[in-house]
Amino acid sequence: MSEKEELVAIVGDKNVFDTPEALEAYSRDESFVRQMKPQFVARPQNVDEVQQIVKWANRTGTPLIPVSSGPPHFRGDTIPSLGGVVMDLSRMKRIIRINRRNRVAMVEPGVTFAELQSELKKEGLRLPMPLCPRSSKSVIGSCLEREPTIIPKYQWDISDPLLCTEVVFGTGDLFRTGEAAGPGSLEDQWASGQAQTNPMGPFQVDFFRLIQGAQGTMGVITWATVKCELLPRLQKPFLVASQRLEDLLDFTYRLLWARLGDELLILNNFNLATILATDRDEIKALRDTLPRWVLIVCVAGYERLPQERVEYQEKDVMDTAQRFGVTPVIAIQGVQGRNVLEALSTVSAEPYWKLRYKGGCHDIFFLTTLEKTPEFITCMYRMAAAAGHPSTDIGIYLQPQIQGRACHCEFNLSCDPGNPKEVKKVKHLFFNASKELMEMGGFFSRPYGPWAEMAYSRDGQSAMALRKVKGIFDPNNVMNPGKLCF
Amino acid sequence: MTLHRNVYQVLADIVGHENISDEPVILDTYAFQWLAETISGTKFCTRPEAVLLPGSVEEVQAIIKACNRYGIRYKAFSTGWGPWNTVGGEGVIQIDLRRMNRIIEIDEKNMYAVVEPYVIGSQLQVEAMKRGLNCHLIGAGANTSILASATSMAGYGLSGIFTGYSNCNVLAVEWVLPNGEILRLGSLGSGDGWFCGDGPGPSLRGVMRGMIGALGGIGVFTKCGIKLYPWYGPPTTPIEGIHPLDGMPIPENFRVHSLTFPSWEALADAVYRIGEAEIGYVMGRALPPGLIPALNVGSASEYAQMLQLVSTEGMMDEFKYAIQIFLGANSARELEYQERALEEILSESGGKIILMLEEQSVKNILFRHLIKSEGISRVFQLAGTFATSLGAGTSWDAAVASGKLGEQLKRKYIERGAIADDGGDLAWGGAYQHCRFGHLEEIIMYDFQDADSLKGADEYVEESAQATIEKSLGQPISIVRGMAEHFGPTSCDYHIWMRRIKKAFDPNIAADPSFYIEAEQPPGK
Amino acid sequence: MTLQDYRNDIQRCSRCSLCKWLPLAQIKSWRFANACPSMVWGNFHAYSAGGRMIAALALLDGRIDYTDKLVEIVYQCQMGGACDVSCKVNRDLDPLEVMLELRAKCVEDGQVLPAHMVMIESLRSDDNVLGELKAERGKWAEGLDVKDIAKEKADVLYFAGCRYSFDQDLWKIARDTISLLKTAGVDIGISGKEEACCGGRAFEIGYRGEFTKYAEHNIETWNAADVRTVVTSCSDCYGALKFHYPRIGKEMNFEVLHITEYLDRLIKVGRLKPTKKVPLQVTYHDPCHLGRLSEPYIPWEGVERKVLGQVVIKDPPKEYRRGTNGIYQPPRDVLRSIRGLELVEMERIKEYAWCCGAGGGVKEAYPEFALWTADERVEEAKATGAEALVTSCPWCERNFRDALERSGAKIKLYDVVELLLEAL
Repeated sequence: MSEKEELVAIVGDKNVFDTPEALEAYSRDESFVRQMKPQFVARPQNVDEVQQIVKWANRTGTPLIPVSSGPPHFRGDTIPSLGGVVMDLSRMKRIIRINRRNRVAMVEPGVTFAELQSELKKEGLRLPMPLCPRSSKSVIGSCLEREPTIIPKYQWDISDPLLCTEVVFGTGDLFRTGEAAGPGSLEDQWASGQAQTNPMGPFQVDFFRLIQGAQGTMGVITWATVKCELLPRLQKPFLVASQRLEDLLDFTYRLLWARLGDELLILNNFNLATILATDRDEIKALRDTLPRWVLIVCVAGYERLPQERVEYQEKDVMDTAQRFGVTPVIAIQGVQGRNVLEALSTVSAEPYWKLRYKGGCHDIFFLTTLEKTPEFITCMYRMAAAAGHPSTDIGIYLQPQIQGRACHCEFNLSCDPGNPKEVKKVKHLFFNASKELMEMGGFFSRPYGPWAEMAYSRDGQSAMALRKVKGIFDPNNVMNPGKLCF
Repeated sequence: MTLHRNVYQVLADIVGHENISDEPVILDTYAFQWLAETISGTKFCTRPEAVLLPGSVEEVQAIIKACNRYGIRYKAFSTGWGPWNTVGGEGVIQIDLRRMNRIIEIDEKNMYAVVEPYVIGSQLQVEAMKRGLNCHLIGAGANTSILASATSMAGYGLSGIFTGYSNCNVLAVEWVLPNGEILRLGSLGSGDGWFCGDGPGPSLRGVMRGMIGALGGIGVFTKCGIKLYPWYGPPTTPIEGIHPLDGMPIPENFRVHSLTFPSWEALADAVYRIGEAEIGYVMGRALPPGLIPALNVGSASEYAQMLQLVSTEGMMDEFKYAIQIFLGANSARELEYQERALEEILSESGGKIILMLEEQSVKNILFRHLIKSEGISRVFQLAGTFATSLGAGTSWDAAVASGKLGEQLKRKYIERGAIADDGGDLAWGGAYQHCRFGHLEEIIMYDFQDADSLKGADEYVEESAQATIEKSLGQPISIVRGMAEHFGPTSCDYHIWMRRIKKAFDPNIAADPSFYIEAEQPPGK
Repeated sequence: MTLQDYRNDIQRCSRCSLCKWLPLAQIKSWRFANACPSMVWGNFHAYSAGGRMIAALALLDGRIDYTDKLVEIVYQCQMGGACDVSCKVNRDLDPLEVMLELRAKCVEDGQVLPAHMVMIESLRSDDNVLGELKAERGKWAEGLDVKDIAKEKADVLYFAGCRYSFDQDLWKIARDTISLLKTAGVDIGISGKEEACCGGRAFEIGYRGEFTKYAEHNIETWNAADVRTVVTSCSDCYGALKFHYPRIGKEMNFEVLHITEYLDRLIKVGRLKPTKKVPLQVTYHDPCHLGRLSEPYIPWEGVERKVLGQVVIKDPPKEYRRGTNGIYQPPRDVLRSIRGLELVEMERIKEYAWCCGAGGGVKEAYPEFALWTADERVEEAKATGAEALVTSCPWCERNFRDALERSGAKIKLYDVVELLLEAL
């Protein structure tokens, strides 16, 4: 049998693609990662098919690139570095189980945020989301990437909201992580009252942590449970404006310490404008009227005493604000907090917000601590100026993580993909700024594309250790080779 | 095997002669352990070949490299409470991390601390509280190592509703791998500080530990970043009164209650609702019925008298389906909200406040006991020792099922006199991270110096472990050698993966594997 | 009870290490969290109370034999008892008693330290542990107009103790004490050179025979002298009289008071009136033997039996000394009665106070360890910001003096009596 025939035998002929158009679509993305076509795209339906494909890949020595989300992709992690087969998991779209009592949902990789949120809503639940994900973004994909979510109080561990998983390791072995491992089948566990809410283990290894952040290099997730929260009955968003970022930081720290607010993030005027507006002109106009920095904090009430909860939170926020000399308001310069919250509570409308300004966007992001963010911003502006890239066109997003122990710092560099000169300039800026920010102490915990080499040359020991892990879970290096340090 | 003098000299050159010993008396004080009788039949496990007291990560590294070079195994510990700290056999040296005892930093704004192995919970807590912060303390007591709990052991504590579980609180870690290389996790490895333990890429925290840590089997941890949590009380917490009646006055923005419910189901419902309401600073079954009398008595005799009194007067029922809860809030308004929410929850679930525990002095004692985490070790006082069982970290409903099961299984052992008659219900535990998961472990107290009692306790632990498999209630909390081999086959053969990890990271099997996983599958398994 | 009698208890040690720390709820800082000087100095677990209990078990079971290291472990400890207090927060064990029995066994088996042999030789030859001549014992009181109870009856006997009798640097305190008592109209007498050691140190280092001899002698002498009260300025002696003397089962027909208790009473009934201001910020060091080690010995003889299946109780019930009934308030009240004096507390006080370093034969056998222990205490005193460290024991005073002289640390040192005298 030819390779294609073997794949067809597993997933059916309607689910194997090798037309130029299909391959082209998976050969590139919005990033600067070098284009490379896969040989095939296969779309399995269930875990058996996934497992068979992985075993086949081991037998044939074929690279496999798992992809959960739909396009456009931005990180370069779904581009086959060495050819091979893209395993598109978007057919696996079951929401297997929603358990209201334990506030947990079990989903397959093809389930998007919009799909899940609408089902969760029926149960009075929601899933904390990253910042306005694109409509095609997979929930599992996002969780595996450790994308920051906008409600830091729910992120007890950087791994949240990912809980248990079913995974096919690169060896082709099937495994369940966390308490889902057993004893007993899932049905047995449900019968005993378990709901796969504890991601740790089994026993002395946190297997899920080895798959999360791995860019598909360790295995393929075929379902995961994710930690859901109560859907607020009442929400009151506030905006805190400032021309100086520094003026917002202590207030933010205090909110985190006092556990006030649900959604809590800082956007610069460019990003806020881009999220709210629909086209370039509107973005520009709005950006120019907005203050440079906007802290968004939303207080909420849930099923129990929602009004009372909002009231006390609001008053405490106001008292705290007064102490730090800032003023939370419900609207600034014509932007209503309600509208902002609405935008943050759903997936991005089309076009994806990052692409609205110029059609293309390159993100630089890393972890640091909140009080250090001004230094990084100064650096970014300096480098942008040196590259001739207007700082007014740089989007900035600061997201407290792990309930305030770390901060995701993100720069969004808009770029017209149809303008080669601009692309070259932005590429140059992207690489140089990434290096500089890393040198300054930005922790590139999610090392996509060119960051991988930079990050692992700073941390050779981690690279060596990860290669040992890789040697265990994917000894033949079939899973997305060429990524990270593999 | 006796350590070759040359090797001893090499090790002595690393730590200094005053920090190494192979004197029998010293070795025996490391071989003696709680629960040693379950391993060796006596109070002494195997003696280490020598005990070393390194003072720095460099010394630890040098020791481990020497061990790899000379084919010596090592077992490190911090505060060292429990038989999993002992060496697994002949030819193993013990590394006592006592000298590495600094709090390296407390980052008040970003709410974390960096500690060395011999910083105990109490030490970190008092320093954190001066800064409006607190740390997660495990139920075993604040005399335990913060780092060991975070990197190498379990991590349940009843402030966990607010402060989580030790595994979720660890940030970056400095780790001497079994082969002697130093691995710095997360942001630390990239030279960026202690705020994150994950990446670049996959998180090697996954290799470091799981629900339970590797108990010395995957190297030595020499520093870690640890999350701190808000503390809404005063910077210092004076104690009033004389022990055992000493208490900590309750700050005005805290409330302390013991709650009782009409049934396990009602209790379970209430806990879920408490979690959803996001209230509570401490919550759990701190005082299962069998432990209530221990709260304010001084000795086992007094406990026995009190238990008999409480049982005779029919007071045990009130503690049957009971939990303790502290509310703690930053503002008076928030506290009011929490109290109203709790009131509603009680009304909905048919629960009520246990009035007999509302007396201020009793509440102060309870506050001290749970904020300081220093009372649960009374379970040693009563019969001589205790064992634990069931207690998987799982959904609260399954935890409650474990609680019920424990009581059921214990009955016949109590009836035959093998274990203490504690009323039958000593299920201890709570629900964590606003009730995202929880656990209830059934405690038994027994006299290890009594052969029948020891036998009965062993049988109970075995039976309860089997029951968790049969009833799909997760992996039990009790830690014995060979657990991975025993439970792995019931849970996706995780033991096979663990063995691969062990061999990959410790090719010379230098880190004592006795409470982790052996390099080779034992015959017959 | 013998060491063997404690075997069951020893086995019940769970190796929790609580004996190394203050009672957890009393810890106030990282720096001053330790309770056990021996453990901080020695670091190996063997140097803790728990470790010594294990060593005792290993010795009883024949797992180990005597070695220099074992002897060092046994004796490198001031026997201050902080471990005992901490252990008993949640346990029914008696670590201090076990350690005392272990020392007695060592002595019985001839495993003794040369420095301790010197003390005992001195005791045997001259009724004191300091290597001084008996004939010189009364010199501290020369020129004092005070009764000799061998010749005249007195209501109250002032027992100076070896340290005050022979340490010339400290004579002034003893002399001042007599003056104070006389000012208060107390009918006071002393034994002068006829005074003999209390025997407490001998007990602590394991010489039971010597101890018994001196305890019997003193009780008989004082009963015969028909004194109503025996008052001492030496906390070590006080501890011996309260904690160890009752062990020999001889009736004591007199009340035993420490000078701070006595002065406190005198102040409260108006017989001493501190009126002068003494503007000084001080911190008070609780001597072990005045505090946790002064709780009276509680004899117990009985059996273990089980109730509730496997709950082990003592029958009859055993009352445990937990250190909470030591003499803590009277010295503080005396200090607080002095106008202008401000008392600030250290972190480790009362029954969980850090030892001065002198006791248990350590000053003699391990002088460096003794001084280091004192240095630690001085650090803690300085951390309060106080100008002066105050104590009420000549052994503490001597060790602090030596430590301050060596370190040059800038803090004054007083006895309670000295400050009270200034206020009168």
